[in-house]
Amino acid sequence: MSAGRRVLEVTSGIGPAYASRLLADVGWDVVKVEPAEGDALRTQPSRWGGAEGAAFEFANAGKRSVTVDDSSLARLVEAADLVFGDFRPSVLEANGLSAGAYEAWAPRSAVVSVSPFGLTGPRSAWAATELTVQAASGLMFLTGEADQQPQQLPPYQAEVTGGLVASLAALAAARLPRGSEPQRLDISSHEAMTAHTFQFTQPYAYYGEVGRREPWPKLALRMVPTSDGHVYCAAGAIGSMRMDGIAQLIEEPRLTEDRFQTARGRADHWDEFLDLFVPPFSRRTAQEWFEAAEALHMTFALVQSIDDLFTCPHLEARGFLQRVEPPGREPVVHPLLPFRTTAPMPEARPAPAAGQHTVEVLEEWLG
Amino acid sequence: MVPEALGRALAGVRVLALEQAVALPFATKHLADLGADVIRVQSYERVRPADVSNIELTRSKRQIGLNLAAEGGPELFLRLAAASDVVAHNFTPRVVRRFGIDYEGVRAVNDDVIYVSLTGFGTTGPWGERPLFGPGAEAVAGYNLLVGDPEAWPGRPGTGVYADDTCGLYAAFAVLAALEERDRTGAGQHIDVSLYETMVAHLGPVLAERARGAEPQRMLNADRRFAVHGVFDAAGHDRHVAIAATEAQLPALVAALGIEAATEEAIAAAVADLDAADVARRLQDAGVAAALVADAALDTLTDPHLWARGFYGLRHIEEGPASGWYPHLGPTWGGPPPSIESPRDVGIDNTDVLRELAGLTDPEIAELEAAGVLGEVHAPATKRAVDDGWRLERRELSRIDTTLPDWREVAGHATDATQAGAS
Repeated sequence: MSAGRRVLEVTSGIGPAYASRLLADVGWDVVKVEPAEGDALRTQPSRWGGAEGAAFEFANAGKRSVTVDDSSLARLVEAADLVFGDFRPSVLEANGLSAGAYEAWAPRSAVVSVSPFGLTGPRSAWAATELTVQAASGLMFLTGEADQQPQQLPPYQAEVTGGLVASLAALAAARLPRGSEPQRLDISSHEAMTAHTFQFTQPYAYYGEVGRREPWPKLALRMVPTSDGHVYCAAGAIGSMRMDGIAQLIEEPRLTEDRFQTARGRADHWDEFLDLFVPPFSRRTAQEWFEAAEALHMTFALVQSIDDLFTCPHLEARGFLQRVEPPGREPVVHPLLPFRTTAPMPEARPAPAAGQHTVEVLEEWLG
Repeated sequence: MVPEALGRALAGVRVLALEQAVALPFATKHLADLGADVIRVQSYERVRPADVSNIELTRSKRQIGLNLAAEGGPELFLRLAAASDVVAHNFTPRVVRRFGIDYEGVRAVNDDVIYVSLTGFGTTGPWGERPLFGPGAEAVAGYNLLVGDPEAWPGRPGTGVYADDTCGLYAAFAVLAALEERDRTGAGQHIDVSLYETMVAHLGPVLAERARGAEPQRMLNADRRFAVHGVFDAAGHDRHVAIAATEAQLPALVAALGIEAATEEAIAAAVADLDAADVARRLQDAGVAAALVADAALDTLTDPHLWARGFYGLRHIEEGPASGWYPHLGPTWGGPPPSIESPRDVGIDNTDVLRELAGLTDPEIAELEAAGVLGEVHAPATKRAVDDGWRLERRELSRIDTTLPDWREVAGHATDATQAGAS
């Protein structure tokens, strides 16, 4: 894995932390600068309460941590290839950094800011949380059932998406010739999320169609209740696809009648269609339906919980999840690298303790 | 600030992409925005008229129309693969094996190739041969049991392409990391990236939280870390405001909304007849996080913040449903938007690419066209043939605007706002 490339992470926040964690995953030397009392995320609970600091463990796995004074920090910045942080003035101040850091710092490759709305534009100074960023992105308007209010996505989605885009852009910046002006990248989690809405914004721009949360019938045919949970039926089942396969799968020949063979026909006979389609699924388990559908070459999926992921035979066979035991802290389970590769893989390494590597990093980076 | 140099970061890198649907095209779009020469290979036989949204997935790429099933098709693909740095596909493992263009097949003609298999479950493991689409990946990776109402059936992230896009971003990241590795060691690699696993990775913080005893479940718009956390209906059809306030911010929230206590009911009543964007601004003035729940239409496309930052650019579309100027996405890391272009036809670059990469002569190319190995299809974007009234009735659409903004004017106003902000 790539030796010698150095990344410094200078503020709190899941976005910049995840960006640099991805680089640690592919072998970069990532050093996190922390206050002596530790990053604020070390004590943050989950959306559901409890699990303090677990998200921190995930976003900081494989890094080293230093606690340094201003003059050492300045020298570490000089020695770094990339510097990640949330460079909003308010965040810099909260992290004891100077407001001009984004403009003034000159690492070898790039200063990369990951923040909710970016560093410029009318909303750059807005108070922001995961919820309000998701709301402003257009994604929440599309999430939920027709009779529900817009729904939030799972936690951290805007932050990790912003971090992922930042890691990509940072890897690209690091390819540019040394000696050219250092790059400044201003990544906005809001924009990273809004980019997902192009299949709705473009039809609006051309035709004026305002897409919204899905009507429940559509959802109903995507996730159907089974004897022990839900199974996901392929989207094709509600489009123009014929019902022959489904009819065979659930042994309901009436579904092959002409009136059920188009989306329009099914919608026009909706209650009858649902009465034929949905109840049979309660006869078997989700796993049984998944396998029966596969035998008929239909693309179903299991609707899994987080606990299901922990026992998933496929993830286990591919070694995808790792149990990590940070010394003195409760263990966590999380992915090691988001993909598999024939290149050498990193080892599972826990997130550091605050300031754990100050001496060795100062020696290695500053000589 | 516009990192223009970033658009040259992958200059000289050639990416051959046998791509379909969304995930890999989204990945290679990002590589194209970084300056890679992306060659999109698709069958010319199955081309359907483009949807306007797909312009985002095909722009800035060279287009080849190739029939892999024709005699000589796989050989031609391998000649292009031999001249590429990155070869990527998003078909099932079985399909690329059948044509002899799997990692082993391509490596035989290009030893240090960076080869990307973008699949549903990855190329190994008990589910490795199973097909999977993006929305199914969201279900199997745990998303759907984290969205919506615990009393109702599971929800799902909006858009239908959340998993595809996300997987595409991880694939692009993997390619950049592999290029760095190859620069250092000279070795290529096989990147095995899946919809399922990248979605699990994207829920990484939640997995860690579950392992430490949290109980992840659907809970509408609640979040226990906040005193107020939710979406409130505002004046007008389908208008909402999202509000997140900590315990310490409650006095500011109460004062800003002119209510006695920060109960859900009091906030809902105070907001119900107000403009959602005005509520958000009022709360922001008081230091409370709030935002309009923007639609993925007029709100986002006329958002002065997004225009001021160069998130959108204008493109002139020559033909299709309506020729004229339209807003399109720029690179996800900020401007400048790529050069203006209409959708390009499948196969339009056959001749140039085959001359350049495979050293073929014009008569040889003509022969391949006559044999049906190569083809070209003109398929401008068309409007979907769907009855709009019916879609409104089914509540698939929130509304249809018959009068649309002049997008050049929207872009111009944004420019003015930027200048005003700067002065």
